[in-house]
Amino acid sequence: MIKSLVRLFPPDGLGAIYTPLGIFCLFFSLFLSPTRDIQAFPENVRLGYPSCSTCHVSPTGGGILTDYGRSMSEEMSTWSYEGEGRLLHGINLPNFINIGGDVRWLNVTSKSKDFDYSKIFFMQTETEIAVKPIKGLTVVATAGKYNEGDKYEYRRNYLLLDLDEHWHFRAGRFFPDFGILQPDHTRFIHSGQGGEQYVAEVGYLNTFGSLSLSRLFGSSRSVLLTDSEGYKLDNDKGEGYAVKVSGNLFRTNNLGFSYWNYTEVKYGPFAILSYGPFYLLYQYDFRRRNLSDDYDVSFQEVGWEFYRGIHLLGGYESSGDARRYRSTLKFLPRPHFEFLTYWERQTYPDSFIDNYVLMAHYYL
Amino acid sequence: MKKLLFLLVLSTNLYGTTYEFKKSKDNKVSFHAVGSPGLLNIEGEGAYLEGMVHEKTAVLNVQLSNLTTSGNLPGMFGLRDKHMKEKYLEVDKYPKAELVIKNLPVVKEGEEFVWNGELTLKNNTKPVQGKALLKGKHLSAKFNFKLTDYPEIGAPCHMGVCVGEDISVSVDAVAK
Repeated sequence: MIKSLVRLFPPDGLGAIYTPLGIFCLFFSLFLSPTRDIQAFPENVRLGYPSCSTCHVSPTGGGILTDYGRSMSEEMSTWSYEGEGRLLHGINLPNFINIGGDVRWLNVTSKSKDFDYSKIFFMQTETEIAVKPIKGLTVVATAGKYNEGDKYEYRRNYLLLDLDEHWHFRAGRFFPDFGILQPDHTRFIHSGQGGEQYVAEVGYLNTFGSLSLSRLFGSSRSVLLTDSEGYKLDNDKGEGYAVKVSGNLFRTNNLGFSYWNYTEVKYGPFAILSYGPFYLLYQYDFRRRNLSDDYDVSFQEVGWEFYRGIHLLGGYESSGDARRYRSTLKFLPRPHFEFLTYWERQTYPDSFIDNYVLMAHYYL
Repeated sequence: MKKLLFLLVLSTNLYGTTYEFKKSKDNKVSFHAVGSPGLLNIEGEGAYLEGMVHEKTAVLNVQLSNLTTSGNLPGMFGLRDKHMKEKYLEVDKYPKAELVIKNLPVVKEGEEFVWNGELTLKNNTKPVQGKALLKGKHLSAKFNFKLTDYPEIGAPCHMGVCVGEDISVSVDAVAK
């Protein structure tokens, strides 16, 4: 066991994880820590929404919804009545305040030839508040419990200054903008980013595309930061930066490029393409580590909203020698509710894991 | 000589030709607007071009009740369509948008031309300018107008997201 752990987290950053225990630990760590709580739907680019800020308070998506975002949730659901998307299904708050929150419940079953694991737990129980004391300024704060933890954590807290309809400045603790900000934190492309960071961000948006520049100052959370292959990353680096640029294509597609120099160096293109009810999310990152070989990570997923609020998805990811194939059914029956189930096979050179996940999500 | 005659035929202007546009799936009128914050794209389509172009005059109209912003995603944006038609355009009271061009330039086949006309929305008539191209019976045209020129429509906003003042209209139609 010790040998396996040493191989999983090698002191010098070198080594492989391809032992049953190592794979199990990596799988476990992907699901349980650190949790990413992004809830954005990047595929909504296909509906004419090139920016997240129409529906989310956060310019890069996720978290508390704007009033319009709540109304939009009615459009995205299979069934709804007018006003159902509002707080607690009908409460209209004054313009200067917005209250939200999320409860995510997860049922995970994982099987391989060496282990059979199952767990049911609340991944996230969180409230979020956004206050606008003056025009153009928004203060956002969250409090919540995650992954069955007993203590409250305050993960996202930031000041957002909307300078005009094109420019914004944001400072505080939140997810840095890199690639496709997709809600599932277990994706290989999200590995190594470490959840919320202290960030100062400048963003620009026009009808042709967007640009964001982020200065990263670390995370106060003490987490073991590993990349998608289990290599320990340099979490004590202190400071770094991220750049993301994207352009709109035919109004319902988005192409971009991201660069990240922080816990590791990574960069690559991403795309959100669509045709009617079909969409494709794609991201490729080339990653460079100081203490081991370079490698690359890719993510591609095709979705089909075959009925309003019901999506079928098929995805493929890779990270070094690891591969992952996933088929997903996502159901948005009514505003405030999201159900998602998927089966995936994660393969390594000499082994594989089958994961079955059921996620239920309720937002205030 | 034959080549010269051929070129002369090609360059013959279309003055005197009558083009009639009737409700058909080949006659498409669409618009594009931008909403803020977030610069979201709002695409309206589903309306037909109807009317006639004869010599120097064009009288064209669009049944606004046919417009939808759901694109090829049936059922989406029902509330947005409802607000557009009932609250802002009031299509029951003002069912048509009309474009009248009284002084069409001499038009040559396949050559883009600029026109000046008058667009009527909710009984308010304002001058507009656009470009058009005729190829056989196929007409394609574009023009822009400002929502602020039509205060009767109001300022379309929903839950803090407002439609910008610039609206671009595209026509892709085949005459009978």
